[in-house]
Amino acid sequence: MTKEHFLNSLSNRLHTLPNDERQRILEYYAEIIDDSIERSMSESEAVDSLGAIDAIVRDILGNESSKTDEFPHFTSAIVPITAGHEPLHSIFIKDPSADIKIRPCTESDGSCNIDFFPVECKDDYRISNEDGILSIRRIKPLKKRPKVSHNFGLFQISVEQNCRLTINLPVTELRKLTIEGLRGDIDCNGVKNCAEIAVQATSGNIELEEIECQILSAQNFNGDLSLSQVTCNGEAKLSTKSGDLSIEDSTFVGSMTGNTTNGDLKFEDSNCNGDLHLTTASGDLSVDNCHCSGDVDARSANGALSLEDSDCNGDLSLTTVSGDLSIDDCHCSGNVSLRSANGDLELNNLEIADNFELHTVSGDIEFNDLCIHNGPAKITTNSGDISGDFRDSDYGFDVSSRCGDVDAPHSRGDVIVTVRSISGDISLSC
Amino acid sequence: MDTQLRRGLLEICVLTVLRRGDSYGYQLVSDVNEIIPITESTLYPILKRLESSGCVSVYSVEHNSRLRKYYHISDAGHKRIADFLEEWKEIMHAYHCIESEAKMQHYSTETEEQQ
Repeated sequence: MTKEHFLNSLSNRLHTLPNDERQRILEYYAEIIDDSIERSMSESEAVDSLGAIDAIVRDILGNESSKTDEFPHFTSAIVPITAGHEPLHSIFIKDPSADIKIRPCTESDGSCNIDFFPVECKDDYRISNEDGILSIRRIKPLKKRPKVSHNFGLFQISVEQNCRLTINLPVTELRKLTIEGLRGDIDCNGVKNCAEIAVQATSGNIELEEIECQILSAQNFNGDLSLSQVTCNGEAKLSTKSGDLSIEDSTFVGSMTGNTTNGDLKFEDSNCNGDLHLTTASGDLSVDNCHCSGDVDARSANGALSLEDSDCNGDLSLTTVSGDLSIDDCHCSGNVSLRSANGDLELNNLEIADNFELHTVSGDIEFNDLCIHNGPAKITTNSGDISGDFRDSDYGFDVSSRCGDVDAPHSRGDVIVTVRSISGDISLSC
Repeated sequence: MDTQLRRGLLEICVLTVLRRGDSYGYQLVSDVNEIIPITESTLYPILKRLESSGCVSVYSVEHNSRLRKYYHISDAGHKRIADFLEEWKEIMHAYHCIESEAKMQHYSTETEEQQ
């Protein structure tokens, strides 16, 4: 090994040390190698005489860490939980500070493992295992988070490492998994043997991935809540306050309710066989590439509401107060009701089987390629303008505006379309 | 050997070598090695500790168009050696007692066996 190669790999291996300290160490070894070469050793002999780089790193780090770190060993402690008289059927976790990870079972005998990281935080928990209920609670507050430094060449940052709890579930069918977190993140991945899952956090993020369950409830306040590849066979209730709520690639066999206050709400590439209720106060709400067999009810106060590439077999009802409402490339087999107070309404390529009601107070209404099979349709606004284009021409138009201009095609069919504005203009075409 | 004890002993050995005159890394490793086995990576933390406790001072000298760090023993370093010798008088006294006691016992068991 050349001197340069040796110093480079030593530098890489010592990336956790502060820059000036690492520099001192590199200078020390560079000097010794140069002096060895001066005493007629070859470069590679000089490097080899220092011994294995692993041993050198161990000597240096072993010496550094014992002096400077609160948590000298960044290792975890694995606590095995064996099933008692009754197999474990419920798991309850309450932890205000640690990041919590839930993973599928690794043991085949009905026991489970809890992995505490770093090892010192193990003693802060009370673990009880009675009547098939495993309860894991943090009983001591977190004193100080261990720090980890990361080196990015030009600069270095020191990050507080959160304590981490990883729970490998038992293989047995579980009735309920309850997680009450606060500041830490909750990450639940690959859990398929739990009938009911209830997750709660405050400022940490909640991530649920590849999960199958009967009942799902997840609640977050400031943190985000995200679901991906989740299958819920019963009822699902999800909510956040200021965090974002996002649902992707998921299937809800029963009804699904999603609420946010300030956070955005996204429902993407998913199916809902029951009724779908989505509500946000000031966040934006979007539904994209989804299929819903039941009714869809989506509401937003100030946020924008958008529906894209989706179809609904039941009734569709979308309401906003001051947010804009837009629908692109959607199909609905039931009744459709769209309402907005101040927001504008924009529809592109929307197909509706039955009743269609659209109303704004002061928002404008604009639509393209609108198709109504049975009707009747009622498009009304107080002060907004209405302009639109229908896909077919077999409609019986009843169009009037009290103060605005009206431009509408002749009636040619049975599907009644009533269009009214008080002070806005109306312009329609087929 | 107990790590704490070995570390303390190595510190004294380095100071002893430095009493002969200021020295640098490579030279120190080979000189200390005559008293007690030491490697480059064990010497580094020892020098660092001696420097932070004020037993040695460090200065750089240009040598063959590069810098070489020299270590110089301070008054505190000299005192460290004196303290060590004082402290070890007691330890050596205890050592000799333990040693002669062990020899006596060894001798008596041997004679018992002979009888």
